[in-house]
Amino acid sequence: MTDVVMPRLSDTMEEGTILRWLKQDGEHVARGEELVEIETDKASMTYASDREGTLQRVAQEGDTLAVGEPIARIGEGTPAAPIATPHQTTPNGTPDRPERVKASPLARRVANETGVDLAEVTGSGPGGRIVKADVEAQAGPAPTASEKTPAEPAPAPTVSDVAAAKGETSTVELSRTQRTIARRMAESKATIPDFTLTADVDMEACVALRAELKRLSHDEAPTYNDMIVKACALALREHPRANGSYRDGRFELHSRVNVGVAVAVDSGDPTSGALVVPTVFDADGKALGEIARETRTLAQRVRDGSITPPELGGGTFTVSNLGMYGIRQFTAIVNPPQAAILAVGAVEPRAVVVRKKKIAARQQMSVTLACDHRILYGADAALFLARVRELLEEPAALTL
Amino acid sequence: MTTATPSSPAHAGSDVLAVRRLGTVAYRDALALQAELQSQRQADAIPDTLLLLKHPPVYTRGRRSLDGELPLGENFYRAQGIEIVPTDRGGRVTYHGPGQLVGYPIMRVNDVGVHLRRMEAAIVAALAEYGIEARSRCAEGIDYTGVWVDERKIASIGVHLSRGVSTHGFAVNVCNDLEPFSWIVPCGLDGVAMTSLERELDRAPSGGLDAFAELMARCFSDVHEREPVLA
Repeated sequence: MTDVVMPRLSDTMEEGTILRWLKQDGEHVARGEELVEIETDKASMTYASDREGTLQRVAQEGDTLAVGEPIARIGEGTPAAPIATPHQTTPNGTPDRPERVKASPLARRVANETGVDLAEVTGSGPGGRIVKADVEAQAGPAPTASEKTPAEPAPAPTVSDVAAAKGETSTVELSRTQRTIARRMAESKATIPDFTLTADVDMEACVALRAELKRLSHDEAPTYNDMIVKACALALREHPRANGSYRDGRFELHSRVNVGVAVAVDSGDPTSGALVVPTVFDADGKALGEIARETRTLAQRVRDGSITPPELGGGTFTVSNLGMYGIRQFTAIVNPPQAAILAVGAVEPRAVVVRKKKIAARQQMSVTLACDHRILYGADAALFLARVRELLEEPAALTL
Repeated sequence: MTTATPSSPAHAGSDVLAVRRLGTVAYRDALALQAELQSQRQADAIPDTLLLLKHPPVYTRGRRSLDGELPLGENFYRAQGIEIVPTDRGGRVTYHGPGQLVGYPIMRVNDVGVHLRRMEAAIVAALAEYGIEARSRCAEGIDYTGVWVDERKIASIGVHLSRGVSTHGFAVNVCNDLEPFSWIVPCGLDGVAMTSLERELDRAPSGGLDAFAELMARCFSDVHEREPVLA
């Protein structure tokens, strides 16, 4: 049995939807025969089998799966056993469950093995996503339990000392977001010739501004991060290449300035945390208070899982802030196809040399810009970063 | 990269783009023609081909069409003289009619995302010649495929691929009546305002649909770096 996975039909494709199976479960398929119709973006396409054997479908019509997830298996001869097909097809050929059920890949596999219909399972994961435990609960006690000898010896003797040194290792299936992060970050590091610039920004004026805004506003006052988002947006408007993308040997310069704000998602479960980047669209044209409110709402929507894909896409630049964790300075990975990302450290009092070579304690913040050198060169990046600093050191322009 | 085939057929990897101007063609006839050309292209019997044409009024439903997208009931649409045809292209429901330029590229496609983005780029370039600043919104999600002027949609896109060859394509609203769009939920995007070149210019585009078709043929060839050949 070989897995047939959701094919990557485009470099930009991350997931596809099974529109229609063109072969029946258990049917024999020849190499080159059309197997399934898949849709991604506004394109539907038929996908031909690259091997010969008996088809065993895994994904159902209407399922949306990430690239690389198994959609079927093709094996030699007849299927190993009559698979308990949870989804019967009605006589007119339409599946009984056209909508997609949200389930983790592990949960799908377990459901497939135990014959549990995912449509009948209530998901306990984020957004009602079905996880393995839900399927197991539905399936009841595992049938193999009775076959086990009551006092099974521990498997310790077969484990080598080296392996044992790490204790027990559990394997965690990645969520789709986690897989996307893994792929895009690796792609970024492997393909983008990046360089970084660091600048120290005097934040005294921003600290004063924030105190003033706190005094004046009934709502929560804009944070330093909101000010940084606004400063970046204004500077991006003046530096189109920092707001562009290098793609297919061309510079793509975008008319809108959309700043992504990296938000860590901590679900309380150390294995399911993720990083999500909601977008503040047209940030250059928005008032500081508007950016503050929008960012707060977006971050909340990320945390409660109600964020929608359009709110996560379309960014032309990213701001990533770890200042709240006391980080002084770090380097972020460029989020392709964006040209740059700004890594923001903590606002903290530091001893700095002021006028007349005197040393004073002033509120300082270090920011590090990571750039794709294919579109944003050193001098351009330096001018852009200098402009961001200037706007933050004289923040009156941010409040316009 | 096209892989070399032992028989080395005439049009395995062609530098030309055959452009066929077909005038007004009934939707079902255009489907049959595309199917025929697709199999010829798969066999490398013809070069990459762009069909440019117009359709009589018709609603076409893509593979992701939902029932609610034609909310007024079939009888109403038929009474307006608009046919409803299901198709195998990606996307949802859309409208075609007189005054709209339809383009069907029957081409070898390696990367379907690139194919979609190139169609968008060609349309944006053609509209720019009229001084209209249009844009792709591909980054905002799959339902935003197409070409937009601000938040208004001016061109729709949907394709189908079989054995590496595309059918279906794009439809640009040049000087068509936009009202039939208001009777449906185009592309599943509720409340999307449709626009046309005529509406954006606030006058009839000079040269009408024919001039736009010619420009479109050139811009489409340009983004593919091909030489257009009238066929």
